[in-house]
Parts: sequence; structure tokens; C-alpha cells
Amino acid sequence: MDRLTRRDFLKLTSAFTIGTLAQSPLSYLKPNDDRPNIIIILFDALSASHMSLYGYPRETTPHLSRFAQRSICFHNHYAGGNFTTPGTASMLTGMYPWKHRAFNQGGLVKSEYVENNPFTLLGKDYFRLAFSQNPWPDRLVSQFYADVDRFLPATAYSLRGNKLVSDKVGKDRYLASIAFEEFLFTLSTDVIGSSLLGYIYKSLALDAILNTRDHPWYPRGTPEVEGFTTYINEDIFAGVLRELLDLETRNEPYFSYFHLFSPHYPYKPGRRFWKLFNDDGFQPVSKPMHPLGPSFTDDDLLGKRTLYDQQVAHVDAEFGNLVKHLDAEGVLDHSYIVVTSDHGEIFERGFFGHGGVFMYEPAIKIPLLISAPGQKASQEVHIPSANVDLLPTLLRIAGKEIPPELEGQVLPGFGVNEDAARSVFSLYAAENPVLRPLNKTTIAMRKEVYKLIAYFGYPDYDNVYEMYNLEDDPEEIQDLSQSDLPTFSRLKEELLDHLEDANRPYQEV
Amino acid sequence: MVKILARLPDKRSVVSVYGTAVFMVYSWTVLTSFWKVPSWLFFLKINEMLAVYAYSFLVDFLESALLLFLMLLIGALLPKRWWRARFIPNSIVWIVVLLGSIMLRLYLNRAPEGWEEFLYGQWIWWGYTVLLAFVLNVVVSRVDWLQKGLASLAERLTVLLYIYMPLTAISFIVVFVRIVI
Repeated sequence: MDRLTRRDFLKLTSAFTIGTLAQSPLSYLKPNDDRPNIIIILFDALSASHMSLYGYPRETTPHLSRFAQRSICFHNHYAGGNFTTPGTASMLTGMYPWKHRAFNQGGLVKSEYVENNPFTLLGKDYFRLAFSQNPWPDRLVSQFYADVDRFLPATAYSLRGNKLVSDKVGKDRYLASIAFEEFLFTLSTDVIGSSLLGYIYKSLALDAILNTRDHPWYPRGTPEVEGFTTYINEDIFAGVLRELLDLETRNEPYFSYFHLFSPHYPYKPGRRFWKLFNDDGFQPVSKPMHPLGPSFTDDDLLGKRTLYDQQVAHVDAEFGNLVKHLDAEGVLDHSYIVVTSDHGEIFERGFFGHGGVFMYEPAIKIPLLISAPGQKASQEVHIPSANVDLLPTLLRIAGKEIPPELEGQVLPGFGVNEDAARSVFSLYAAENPVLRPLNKTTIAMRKEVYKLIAYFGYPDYDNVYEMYNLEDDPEEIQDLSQSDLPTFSRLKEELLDHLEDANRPYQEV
Repeated sequence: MVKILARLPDKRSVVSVYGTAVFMVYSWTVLTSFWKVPSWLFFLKINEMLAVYAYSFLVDFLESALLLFLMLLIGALLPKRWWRARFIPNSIVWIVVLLGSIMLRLYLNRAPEGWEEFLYGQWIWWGYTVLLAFVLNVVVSRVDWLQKGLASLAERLTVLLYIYMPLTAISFIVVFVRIVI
């Protein structure tokens, strides 16, 4: 997709308003379909910046592009954080990390906000299914355990099989997952807490994982959730399809949340994709090293980027296959399909992956496609939106009340006027205790065509700002924080106001 | 039944051996939890951390009971002069060597990149462990002061039962409440 100019932006914004008034996605519903199914398919670590759908030069997502032809496609959509826990928690709670407080690795949603999640708020009107391959979102959803009707274990449809202890304990699954999968019987970090049984468990589980690390379909090795399980994308997508077709047999609407691990690191594309883009001559824009980052060379980063792009292409093909089957079964005719991610992935400035202090576009800009039941035409939204908007939008679709404490808004196209001047935020604070004010954090604020990034509390890098005009400089190279002072001051003041509000409840703790 | 009971050591010996198993198993959990507490402090409340400890102590209880059962079983199966005659020193040697070996191996291979080494060296490692336990058994069986020393140490370790057993009982209640009620 070509770069968007300011004029295009305004034209599209107004065109979208007219389009919205003419045909809201809600109008696709037949009168008797007042409670459509809602299916969320989330691809972990899928960066919008690496999707051909959003203009990436490599043809990574032809199937998602095709799906976008029957969806509302959000072009400036942001995750609540730059790694799984805050990103997913923001999507599920409709709040930014500074409010739900799940911003540490494996963190939890603050107890007073646990009720704010789609499973609880959609209520018993829906049959509710959850499946997360990634153990961290599994833990987050475990906090809503009582309101999930079918909760698949994180190892479902994987090659390890379902042998998780925490899956057996019922409503205390989230704390049990910390006790068992993170401490007593963990496979991945530190020393495990259970000597005798833990040792036996670890031996058996690692044996199962190592014995499945080679697979004829995967020349670079079987994909894996590191330190947890190996899996075959084909099996996972077949599992998703099976679950959905099973849900279709129920005489009630359903809400399903599938948090799929690919294309998350380690990048292990299948045989059909492992040579894709290898010699295509693509050269990403070279960017300066960041003072807070490691220092992978551009060549290193290009190699990793290519692997990631191959993995994205593989996931895209699997998704295309899934949609084909869902379409054939008529599921798309009475279901909302939401495709999104929890955070992005970055390969620049000496850094690759996610979860560092970087809040550049590839790390936080994610896809959002929402296909309404029976939708046949595409709609495009270019104003900034955030994954905190998903929960209020789902509640609007389901005709439920939206709790006032949610920070997200109903997305454009769902019966509200869009707010082009609105600010959206993304936050990294993995090293900040949850009960303390945010003192060590990186915050990105997107407003209009501008993006402000603020760094607080890092050694020799405190109170540092960057500002970019994403319309003129989508690669975020020209820092305007010193040259466009009026805009910078306006944005900085707004960001600091938000931060002050967010920190207020924790000032006296 | 009477026949089986007759092959079990006296209660005091059982408690001493169990005290040693409890000391090893529970202390390892408490010690390794210090690696995790800093990160838990970031996002868990005190009551949630205590619940994690409750799960841990239940697993520890299971492990220590399993170890004791194993020692009793060996004692019941082997001739008296091979095992039950020196139940405390023999059991202590095996428990300490077995658990010590596990702990050392877990510590040495704690990083994810140590996976292969952790799995592939198992047979050799456990071969040496069993050999070491046998050798120590033989040595202990021939040195009186070592036997007495181990028995005396085990007796002192029983004091930990007064701490860990009430904690385990509380853990049972906590877990029951969290899961069932």
C-alpha cells in the first residue's frame, strides 16, 4: 500500500465517516441474528509493519489481504504494550497497562479490574471458549476462569500433549500456573522448586519436546513455545477449525478466543516457506543504533527478519485455509471474525524481537481486521485506534453495557463517530513493580500524524523524548522533538498528564 | 499385616529419616523460591505469594512421603542385616545422595540451553550416583562413629517437622479453600 499523505488521510477519514453512516457493519446482521458469534484469532507477535496488507514490500500476507476485502481494516492500530502480557491484558480488559497493571512478564490483571473482560461481560448469553498456546495469556484468562465454559490447556493440539498440572486445579488455575509451571515444574528458567517430582517431570517433558524437535514439514525444526512445548502449525489450525465446528453445533451463540503462538520467535517456517524471500534483494531502511539496545548488525537483523517474514507467510497461508473452511461451512455468515495481535516484532536499531524498551512502529503497530457476519465489501480506517478498543466494541456488538472504567472506545464503524484527534498509548514497564508509580517505563503516544516516545528511569537515559511525524517519516528517523517545539510541547504535556493520572493511586504506596 | 509391620523399623527411626527427607525437600523449595520472589514481588500480592508457597509445600509433602515410603519399602524387602539393622544411616545416605544428586543436576542444567546435556547424560550421572550411595553405605556400615553421627544429625533434624508439618497442614487448608470452595 502506498504511503498515506495528509490529504489522503483527511479524505479517507471523511470518506470513512460517510461510509460508516451508509452501512455500519452491524447492519450486515440479519434481524434474527441479534446475537452473532464472535471469534477472535490472535497471532502472537504479528507486526503490521511486516504485512503486505499494510504496505510491506514482501508479499507476506496475501490471504489476510484477501480477507481484508470482506472486513473493516484498521491501518493505524496499536497494541497496549510491546510484549505479550501487557498487550494481551490491554486487549482483554479494555484498559492500558498503567491501569490493569499486568505489565511485568507473566503479570496479572489487578483484582479490582478482573471483571472487565469479554468472558465475564458477555456473560451466559454466550458459550465462551478460550485457548492460548502462549502460557502468559493462558494465565491472564485463568483469572476469568469462572466465566470460561470451555478452557483448553495451553498445550492443546501441541506435540507435548496435555500434561499441565495447573490445568487440573480448576478455578485457581492462574496461581497454580505460577506455582507449577513457573516454579515447581518449570522447564525453562532458573532452578526448579520441586526436587524429586520436578526432576522426573522435567525429564519426561523435555524428552517429549526434544523427541519432537525434528519434523519432515519443518526444515528448520519444529516450531516451539520455548521451554514449554513443540507444535505443528497445521495441527493447531486444524484444532481451531475443529473447535469452531464443534461450537457451531451448539444452539447458542458463542464467543471464542484463540491466541495462537506463531509467528512468535523462534522462527521456524514450514517447508513451503523456508526459502521464501531469501534472495529477493530486499534491503530495509538502515537505522541508527539505539543507546539502550544491543547491537546486532544490519546483516544479522536482515537474516532474522527474513525468517520472521517466512513465518508470517506460513501463518497467513494457514489462516487462508482456515477461512476457506469456515466460509464453506457458513460460519462467516453469522459470525464476527476478529484478527489481531498482542504486539509486534522489531528488526532495527540493533535490536530484534519484542519486549525491550523500544516502542517504534514495528514493535507496537499490529493488525486489526473485523469481518462482520456476511460482510462482502471492505472498509478502511486510518485514524489511530488501539487494542483497548476491542472490548468495548465487542460489548457494543453483543448489545451489552460498557463499563465506564474502560479506557478504550467503540471502534469506528460500530455505531459511533470516530475521533480523529484522539490519542492512543502503548507502554513498556516490565522492570517497574506494579504497586509503584511508573518510574521506569517507555511510553508511546500516537496522536494525529505524530508519535511521541518517552523514556523514563533508565540509567543515563531518563526523561528522554523522541517525536516523529509518521505521515512524512513512517520509518521514524527524523526526531522532531527539538525542531517542532510547539507540537512537541503539546504532546508532551498531554502524555505527562496521563502519566500523572495513572500514577496518582500509587503515589502513597 | 502383622508380618509387614514386623519388617518396619521403630517409630523413632522413621521420624528421624522423615525429618531428614523433609529438611532436604522443603529447604530446597524455600531456597529456590528466593530466585523467584523478586519477580513475584513485582506483580503478586502477599496472599497470592503465600498461596504459591502452599502449593509448593503440598508437593514437598508428597515428595518427602514418597522418599520415606521408598526407604521403608527397601527395608521391608531386604534382609534385616542389610538395611533395617542400620535403617537410619542407610536411609540418610540414600536420601542425601539421591536428592543431592538431583539438586546438583538441576542447578548445573538450569538454563534452557542445557536441555540436551540434562537429558543425554542421565544414565551415566545416575550410575555414578548409585555407585556413590553404595560406597558410602559400605563405608558407613563399617564406621561406628559415622553411624552415630548420622543418627544424631537425623534426630536433630526432626525439629524441623514442628515447623514444616503445621505449614503443610495450613497449606492443605489453603489449597482446599482455593480450589474447592
